[in-house]
Amino acid sequence: MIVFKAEKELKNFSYSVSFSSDSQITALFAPSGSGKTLTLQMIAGLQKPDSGEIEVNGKTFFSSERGINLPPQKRNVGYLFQDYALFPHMTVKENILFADRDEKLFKEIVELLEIENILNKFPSQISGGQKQRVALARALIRRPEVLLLDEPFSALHREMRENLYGELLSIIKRFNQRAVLVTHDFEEVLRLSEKVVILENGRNVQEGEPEEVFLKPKTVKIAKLLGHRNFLRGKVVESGEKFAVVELKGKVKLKLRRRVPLNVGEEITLSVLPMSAASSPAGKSNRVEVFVKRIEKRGNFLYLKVEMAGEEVELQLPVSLTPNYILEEGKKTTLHLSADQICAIREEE
Amino acid sequence: MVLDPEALFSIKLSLKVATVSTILVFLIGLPVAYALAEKEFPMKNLLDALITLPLVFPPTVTGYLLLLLFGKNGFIGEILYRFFKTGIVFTWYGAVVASSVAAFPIFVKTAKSAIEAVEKNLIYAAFTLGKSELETFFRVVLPVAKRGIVAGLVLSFARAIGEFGATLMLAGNIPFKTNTIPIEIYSAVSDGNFERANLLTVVVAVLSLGIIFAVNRLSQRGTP
Repeated sequence: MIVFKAEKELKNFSYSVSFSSDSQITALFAPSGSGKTLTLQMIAGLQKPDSGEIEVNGKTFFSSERGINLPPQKRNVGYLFQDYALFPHMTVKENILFADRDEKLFKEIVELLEIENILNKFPSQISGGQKQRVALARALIRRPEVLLLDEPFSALHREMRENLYGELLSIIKRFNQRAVLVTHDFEEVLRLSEKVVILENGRNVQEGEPEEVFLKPKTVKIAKLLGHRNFLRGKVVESGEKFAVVELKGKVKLKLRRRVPLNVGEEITLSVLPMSAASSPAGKSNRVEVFVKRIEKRGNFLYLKVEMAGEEVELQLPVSLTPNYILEEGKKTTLHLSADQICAIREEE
Repeated sequence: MVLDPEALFSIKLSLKVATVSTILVFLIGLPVAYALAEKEFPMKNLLDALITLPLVFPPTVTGYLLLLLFGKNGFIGEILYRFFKTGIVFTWYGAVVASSVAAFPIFVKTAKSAIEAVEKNLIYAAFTLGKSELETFFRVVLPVAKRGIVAGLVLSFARAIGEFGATLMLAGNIPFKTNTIPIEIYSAVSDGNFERANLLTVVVAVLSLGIIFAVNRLSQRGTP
């Protein structure tokens, strides 16, 4: 269990974040400059909040009320720094054993991370992916209360990331390790965590289970952070138990799964996810006539820019589905959009 | 051309003075450099300015101030005289003090930038791995900043070898006692003994070239 509540006034930045999480991996998601790293540093004891309370697995790390502020040395956190922070003058082995000389655990971790063959090399002689493994090994060897992961994948290229996601998950499960993951990539959040806290400008603006947060963003601003692109205004014309229908400009009607309370007659913002066109037409709930402005093929997807209800909308279509459609730039076509991939956003002020 | 005993003495003395002052400067300067680089404390800027003063003061002025401080009626001089029945004025210790004060800012400035250049996250990493600030300093900061610190030491040694003005004020020009190479060259030229001046100049030139090579090698060598 992690309980975090902290306020800090900095030059040009006011920070006030509170969340609690019982998940094995908690993600802190935010654009850069919103206080993600500061949060990790506060958990690690490298930055001191002006006031608040930080508790990990029942241990109080910091409490302004009770006058507790454990030094970083006494908190036993495993910190994986964004730049890995490997000691350049030590070999891989010396780096890992810097903290602790538990030979048995050392052997186990080294085997698990497959770094046996680079133990005598210096950090400058190994690749980025290897550096990350070494940094992870060094963070794990003290069996920390919590593993703090500061954008662990941002410096690695896509393919390597894919491999490491699975590896990191299995290691965290293997050591039954609690972790806080900081990232600005929501795909990472979806892949790795069970709970996400979204930070914006030093405030936590939304939290919850990642899929749910992704489909139920509280505001358009948050939705944009999460990667939503297509926002359309409309009026609720039907609101049932599971589905609702919203009418857009030009009498275009869209059926969507009802995830937030929707009242007939109210104005609402819809977010049509680019992937809403991506499942098979049979399962689609909406047939919408659109005007195709641009088609671009990237990998296994077609990226479409279409005009729908007077607005420009970006959609992704798997190449395997294209035989179902007649697609040509500058022509009209009918697309099928899934009601599950259309979200209603109620701006709550 | 052979060096006479007095000139030989001056070479030995200069090496001794420079070595001792470099060690002193290292021992006192390193914690100061660390504090200036990593710590926030009141009057930090004032301390920084005071340390820098000998770099901008005319050496004779530095020497004069040291004379006021270490003379029999000076603050430190009186303590030394009262409790230890000794003084440093007109002794080779005086030359050490003068050289140390002159070399101190050079070392502190160089070491400070070397320590500042150590990635903050390396220090943080050591802290989160349970290491105290002292252990972090010796096992992480010092080895990573090593090259800059050693370069600072070499430059300090060079400055100490070349110290003239302050040394003359504090230690005087006493043959077989306080006549360091620069002072000996000054005496030789005043006496019109250009052969001795030339010889000693060659010695200084060789020493200086050696130092320049050492600094260059240090700054060219890549990190391990």
